[in-house]
Amino acid sequence: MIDLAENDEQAEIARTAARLLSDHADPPWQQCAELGWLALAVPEHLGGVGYRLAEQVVLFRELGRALTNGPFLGTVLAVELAIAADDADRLATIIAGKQRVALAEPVGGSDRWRIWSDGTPVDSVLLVEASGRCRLVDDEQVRTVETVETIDPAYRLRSAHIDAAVGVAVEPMDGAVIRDRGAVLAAAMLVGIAERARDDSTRYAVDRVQYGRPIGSFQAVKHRCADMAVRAEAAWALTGLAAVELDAGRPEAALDVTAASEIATSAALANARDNIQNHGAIGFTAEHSAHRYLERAHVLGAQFGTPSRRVERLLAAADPW
Amino acid sequence: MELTDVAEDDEFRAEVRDWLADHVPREPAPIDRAARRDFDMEWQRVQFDGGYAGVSWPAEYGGRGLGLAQQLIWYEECVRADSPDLGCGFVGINHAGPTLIARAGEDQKRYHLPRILRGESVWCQGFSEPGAGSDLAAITTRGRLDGDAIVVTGQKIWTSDGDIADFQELLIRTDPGSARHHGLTWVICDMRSPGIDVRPIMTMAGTPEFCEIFYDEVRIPVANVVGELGAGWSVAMSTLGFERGTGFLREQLELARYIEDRLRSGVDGAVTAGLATTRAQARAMYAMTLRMVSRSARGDDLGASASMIRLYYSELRQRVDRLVVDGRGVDGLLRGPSVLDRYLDGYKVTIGAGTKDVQRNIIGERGLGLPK
Repeated sequence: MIDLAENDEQAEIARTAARLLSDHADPPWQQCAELGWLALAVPEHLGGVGYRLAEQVVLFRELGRALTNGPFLGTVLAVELAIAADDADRLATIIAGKQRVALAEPVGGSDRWRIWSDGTPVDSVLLVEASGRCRLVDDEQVRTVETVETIDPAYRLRSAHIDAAVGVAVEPMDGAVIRDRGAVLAAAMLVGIAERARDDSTRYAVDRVQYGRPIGSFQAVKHRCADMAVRAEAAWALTGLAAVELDAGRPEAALDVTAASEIATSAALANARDNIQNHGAIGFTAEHSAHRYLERAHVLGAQFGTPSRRVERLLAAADPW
Repeated sequence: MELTDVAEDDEFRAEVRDWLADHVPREPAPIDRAARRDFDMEWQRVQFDGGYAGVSWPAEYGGRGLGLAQQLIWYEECVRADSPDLGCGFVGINHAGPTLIARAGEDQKRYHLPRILRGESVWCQGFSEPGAGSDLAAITTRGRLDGDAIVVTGQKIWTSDGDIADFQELLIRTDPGSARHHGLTWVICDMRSPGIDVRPIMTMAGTPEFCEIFYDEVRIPVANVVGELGAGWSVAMSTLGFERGTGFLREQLELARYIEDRLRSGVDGAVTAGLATTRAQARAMYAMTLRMVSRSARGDDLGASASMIRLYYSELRQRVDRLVVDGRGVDGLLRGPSVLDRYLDGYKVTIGAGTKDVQRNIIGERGLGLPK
């Protein structure tokens, strides 16, 4: 059967990452590389740690929870592209922490792109085309038109022209797998946000006293926290399922990857919203962290498709029965 | 999170699939109550003879002795094969049986468990009372000790299948001076005992599904106590744990399958997007179930997982039913055998087995540690 409980190694990955990230939410990139975070799902014979997506989601859930900045998604997907393209040099460079990769999405028109940039410098850009075809392009070949701020102060969007002929490409068949892996990793980060919002709310509901009682004893607040717990559990279980299915090449993955995107995005957004509400006025301040979960959830939820694109994919996927 | 025992599971699944293809009754379940009882018990008997009654029950009491993973596979294949649901066998298989396995004495297990599996006894539940719904600890139905019998007087309500049941899991107050969770006893009541009066209650879905039951000096042997006299609360909590946990595996799978069928049969365009989202939610529900089964196999503390799944299922079920009715426009509102029956019947799922509010209390208090 598909075992969806974390095994000992997965639990250890989560513990180690959580411990490090609680000290430094943004650890130096070189340290991440030395910890094997960029090569977690790279086979050992290619110089990696030899785990799979099921272990990678455990790490990304912690990166999401800590609101860690850094081009993790783009970089580990570029690792997949380097493997698919049989580009051993590039693979070695990336997992050594010497090449950071941003993610880009097409705007329409063959050479127009928008690049997600989180303020940290990148060396190259991973272009995920609508067909699933993926291309890795050096940042020098990107002609930036303008850079605008987004809802999340850590993320900017660079509009750019990128020549359709440049870069290392993999065709849609391999590319779609890369995109699917990205969607599942983003879902894992969204789970981390949903869980952190749940935990912050729970702590506040125990500590905050009004009318002479902790507000968590009132059903209005308690039930909101309960709903946050259910959303987080549903999102994590489904993200784990999609990861195991992708690892095993199961046909249900086509449905479950998109379903995990959908469920994790709505869980993170709804939990971020409820967390602001549960904190009352303090939750609405710039100083409080509550709004940061909401902002990050919106950005991560937008990385691999719009809501209507998700509905299309959900409807198109084959019946798992 | 990994794939395990693939070959073994595939083999069991293939075996089950073949067997179901040959044995699932093709005629629809009858409406008439007595006929429905016969139908459900006959199907249970066929499963027993095939070796599939109680897949995860211990072999010494007639079960198959396999794990929850195989139980899940069994239900998946049942839903795929459109086999009849447990019907009036539900309480015996999902409440009473598991409670007896966990808490009953050897004689009680040897007598009752094989009868449940062979389709020879129908069970019903006697927990709720007019004054004790969500607040189960407020029950007042009394049991007075008289020699080797407990003499029961009082009233129970919302007892599904009370009109056709042989036995009842009955929760009573045996210590007259006790309050709340103390002094309660979980006892097996023979529904043919003198002094029992069963009156069916019509539901809003038009089914005479549940009953109110009056007890007037009903004598129940002390030997029918499960657990100990006065320890009924803890036994009742086991019962509810089974119900909220694995009791609805089949219903969850059925709902997932139902969504797929509705999507295939085509509905109103605006409703299609809603159903697409429920498709994702059905997969999340399935994943939560797999995760609970996995954690249970590891012996992890399941916390409030069962309540989370119950809450998720029940609200999803109502969302889906509403979408399907809406998708048919005026046709969806026509009485008769239709999507309407299912829609109306679905209003029970956020009430039975603990209301959605009780489930949220459990998740908040037991799962998150919030204060009462």
